[in-house]
Amino acid sequence: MIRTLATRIAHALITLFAVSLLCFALLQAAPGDYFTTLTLEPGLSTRTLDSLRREADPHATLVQRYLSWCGSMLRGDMGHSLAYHMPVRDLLAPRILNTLLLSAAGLAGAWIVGLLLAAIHGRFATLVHAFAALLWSIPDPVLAFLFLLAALRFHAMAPLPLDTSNPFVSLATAGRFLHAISLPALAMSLGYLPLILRHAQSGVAAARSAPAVEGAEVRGLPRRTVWLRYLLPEAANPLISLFGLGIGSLLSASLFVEVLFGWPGLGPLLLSAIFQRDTLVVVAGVFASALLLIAGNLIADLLLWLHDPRLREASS
Amino acid sequence: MQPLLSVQALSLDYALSPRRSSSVLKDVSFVIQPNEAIGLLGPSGSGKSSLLRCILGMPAPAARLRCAALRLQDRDLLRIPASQRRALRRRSIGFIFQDPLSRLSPYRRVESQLRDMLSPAARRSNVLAALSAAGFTDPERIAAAFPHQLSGGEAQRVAIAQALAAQPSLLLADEPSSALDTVTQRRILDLLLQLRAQQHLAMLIVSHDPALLAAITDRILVLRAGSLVEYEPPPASRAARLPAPALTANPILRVSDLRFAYVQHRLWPRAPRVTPILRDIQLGAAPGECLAIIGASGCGKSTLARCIAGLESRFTGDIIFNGEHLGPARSRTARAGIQLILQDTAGALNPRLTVADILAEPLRIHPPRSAPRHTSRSIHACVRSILDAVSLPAAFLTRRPPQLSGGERQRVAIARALILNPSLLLLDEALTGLDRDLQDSILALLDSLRTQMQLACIHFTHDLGRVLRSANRVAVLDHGVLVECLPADAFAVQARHPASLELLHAMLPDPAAS
Amino acid sequence: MTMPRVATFILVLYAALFLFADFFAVTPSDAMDPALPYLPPETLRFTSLTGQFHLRPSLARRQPITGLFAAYSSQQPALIPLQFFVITESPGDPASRHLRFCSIPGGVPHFLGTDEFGRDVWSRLVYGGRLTLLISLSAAFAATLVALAVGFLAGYAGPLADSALMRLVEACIAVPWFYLLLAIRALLPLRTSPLLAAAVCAFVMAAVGWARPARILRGAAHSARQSSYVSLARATGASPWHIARWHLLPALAPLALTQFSILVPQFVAAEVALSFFGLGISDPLVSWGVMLAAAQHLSAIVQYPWLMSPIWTMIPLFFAIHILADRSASASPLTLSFLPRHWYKLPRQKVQGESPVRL
Repeated sequence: MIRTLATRIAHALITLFAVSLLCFALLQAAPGDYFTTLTLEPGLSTRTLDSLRREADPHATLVQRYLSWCGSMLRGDMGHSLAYHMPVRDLLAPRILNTLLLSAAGLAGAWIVGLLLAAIHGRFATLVHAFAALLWSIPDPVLAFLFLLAALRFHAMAPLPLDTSNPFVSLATAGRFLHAISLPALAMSLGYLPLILRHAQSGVAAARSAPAVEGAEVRGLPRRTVWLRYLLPEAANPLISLFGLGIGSLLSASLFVEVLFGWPGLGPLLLSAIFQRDTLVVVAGVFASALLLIAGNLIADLLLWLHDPRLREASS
Repeated sequence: MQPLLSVQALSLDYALSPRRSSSVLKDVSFVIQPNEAIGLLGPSGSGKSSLLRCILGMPAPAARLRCAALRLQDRDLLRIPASQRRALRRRSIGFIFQDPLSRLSPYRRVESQLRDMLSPAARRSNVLAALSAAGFTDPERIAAAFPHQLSGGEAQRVAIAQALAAQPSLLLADEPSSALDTVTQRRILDLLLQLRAQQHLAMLIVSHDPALLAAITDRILVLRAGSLVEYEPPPASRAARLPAPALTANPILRVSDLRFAYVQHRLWPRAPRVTPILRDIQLGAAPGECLAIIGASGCGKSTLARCIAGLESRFTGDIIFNGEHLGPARSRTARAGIQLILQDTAGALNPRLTVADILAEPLRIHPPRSAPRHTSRSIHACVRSILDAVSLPAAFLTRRPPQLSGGERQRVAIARALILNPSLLLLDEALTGLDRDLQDSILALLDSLRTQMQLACIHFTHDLGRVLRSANRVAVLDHGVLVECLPADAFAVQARHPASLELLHAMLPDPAAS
Repeated sequence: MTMPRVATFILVLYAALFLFADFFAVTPSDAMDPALPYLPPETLRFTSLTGQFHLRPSLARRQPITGLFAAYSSQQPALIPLQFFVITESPGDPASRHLRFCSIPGGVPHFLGTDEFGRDVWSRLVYGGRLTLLISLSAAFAATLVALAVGFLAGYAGPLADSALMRLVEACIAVPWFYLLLAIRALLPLRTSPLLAAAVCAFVMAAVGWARPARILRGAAHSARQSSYVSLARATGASPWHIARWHLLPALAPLALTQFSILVPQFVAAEVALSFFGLGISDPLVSWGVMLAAAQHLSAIVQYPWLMSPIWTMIPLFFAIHILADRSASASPLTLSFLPRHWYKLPRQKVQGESPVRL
């Protein structure tokens, strides 16, 4: 058992290393840096820019830069944002918090509604199925966009603008916060709902014809017992994987919603950082979301391992 | 006396399309008296399982059931509400499946699944008692186990404990032992006999094996193509067994000092985990000989077959085929000359290819030297003739394995193995699970090939009864060691090793003799 | 069984629309009509001003109010009879000479209105859809090919190479795809010729999209390799080539097809998103993403909702693709007839007396 977990964690670490290498290589290979975007500033001469550049990054080679970045990451120091003139950590922390709040609210809503809808069967199942297929056919960004338009058109709940230019947004009161989060969270839920519905529906359908469930039916166990003790455990595996995936995408799934609704989360910050070539911010942000994705996979593995005694056995 | 179960004029058909339907059961009527054991015999596809499903009151959704009366004691199963039927299934009918292991939920311990069948107030002692009644000597271990930790025999005992936990009056069993090896099968049958005597059970046992039914039931009903027909004991087996070929100086196969172990390499601890499977196997087979290697499941039979067939490379010792030392790399002649047939026909044939492509595959791999560019026409001719040899119609050429029944698939697998004219055929439980008639016809085919083409056969099986009818020599494999090797006709008399004796004891009497 | 049929019908419709884009579009995608910015969709009428019925439909054209931007008179519109199957040519652009399915004398009918510069939305929709789908299809094709290659490699490579490859795949999956997309896009020159930009767009999407299908195909190749039938073929002496041709390819092809059909809508969305952020296609080429980039101004969309027409066009297309991908095991032969039937269609279990339904 410990062996499997150790292997999993080792794999996760290797993946993490590969991710860091990938991010770093991509951004280093990009033509130009933050300072090339400044060359158009009339007030800055080339020499000033050169000295600024040296000051910002004393290391000459790529490897040195990567190693020094790794070292500071291990110390918990993510470097200094060139565009915002502040430590990356302080820049990211409130943004990450905002994004986590939004995604968690959105995903929780989607899970609750999705599971409830999946339990429906009979006449309304076709309706639910069609609804899921329709939602599934609309790409995430488009769905968020349509939702925003609908909200604007009906003026029922106009999205509350939050100041995105200032990274330090304090969400003053709970009521105001709930008002602000409700629309983007709903938009996220809508995007995530068909995924959950499909998994839950197909899981239950497959579990219905599983030999163990049929066995329980033949033995004449009460319906309740069959559902709770035989069918649900059988249907749980794909949902557990999906749950882990959901945790993993907490930081990255809300990008379009954040941009469209002006939510002061990680997404808009990273976008602007990519355009401004603010390397350290991008790497730190991407790294954080990759870390969460890997952690989500690990959590799913752990849950599966807890759920399925055969997995526990195979590893010991 | 009122019969326990009475079935009157039961018919069942499946609607294939709005206009077509296939009839599965036609006008079936029979009764079971209390404490009577009835066997239901029939080849695969004769409607046995559908009949059991009807008695449970849960015919398949697509099925149309017509029945004058289906009474259990005084209640008509088909005319009571579904909830009562469910309760009746739980209290009055016990059911034993063919595949007991997959019928247990893999996520829960045996104890909690058994408890579902008992009353909610049941104590742990009741659970343990139910397990002990099913013949377990260590019920605590079984109760705490998850289903995947059980062996096939243990799972079947748990299933029996589950079926009898609510003390039903009728026990239905669908091929209760066909997934088990003979020794375990015998123990399960003994247990059923004993329970029947203790609990005054009526039993309906479904099987395709007349020997099994003759051994434990009072009378046998035969289902053929959906109708009940009169039971006749099968004719006595073909008397003539092919004589053993004269032992020549150069056997087709010689295995000496063969050892095989599974080695699991680990980062930590460094020492690899070694599980020995085969130890010092000495074996020989003459051209035209039929050798049987028997043993309980897990004794290493399949691994031995895989080593000879060239699917395992990490063995030590010598395998000499036709004078050639077979290592991990072997000549194309040796690869064409040794053919392996597996029990799992569903996995052994690629479900995406047609029978024609499956049969042509060995010819595509080994184009004959005479015609280096093997034309599709000559391949087709070969394929047709071999299909004829296993008595399958040419219409099968365009079908795919999922469209075939188990017996048909096994014949295709045999045809595939024979198409290259091999000199050694390895049959790894290849006949197990087939109907007796089919087994006999395939054995007859192999016999004729043995005389015509000096084909040597090695059966790897646990079914001693059939092997004693067909093989020249029988070797007993026990925990990876060949403990005895005797001529087949002298085996019953000369066998001394406990493993051999146990296999002999487990052998069911031939129903033809009784 | 009607759903796949409807889906196939939709796909055929779209294919015809994009294959014969020059016929169905009424004007070149970049032809501007500065006099008619933000013209609302024009309606067809079968009656004359006096209420008389005419079989030939007329276009009700509203006149712009002079001196105001994008304002049109609500007075009685002019009725211009439509002409069908005409060869038209924009003034000064001989390359735009094509047979069009309909036109009006001395102008262009705007069935879906016009955009800010008076360009015809319907024509841009047709040409844009063609480019968007061309990019997504070629990117999906490339990504699926790479995934297939990885799958085959997993069938032969040793455990170490396999493991290394899988770590790379997992790293690619672990990075949020859109950031990866942007990062790779940012690697490549930002200002290029439009055609090169389209190619770069396709390349970037393929570079991001190959990992997921690769993992799935690799799993399938792995289980096929461990199946009994491959073992038996190897025992008989089959070459790696034989196993690839007869066992791996038939097992992977249907999966690859499904993955391909899952990738296409994803890539359409990616193209839209890239162009939305100004990293995708640029003028004078047009794609759905370029058209929707105008939606960055929410007020414009609320005021001129016909600019959203790519969205409404997209949804039935995705719906159809999803339906067919869902059923690719029994997919409509129409879409797949170029493959041997058994590659995508497994025969149903034999229906014999016993076993239409498992007990």
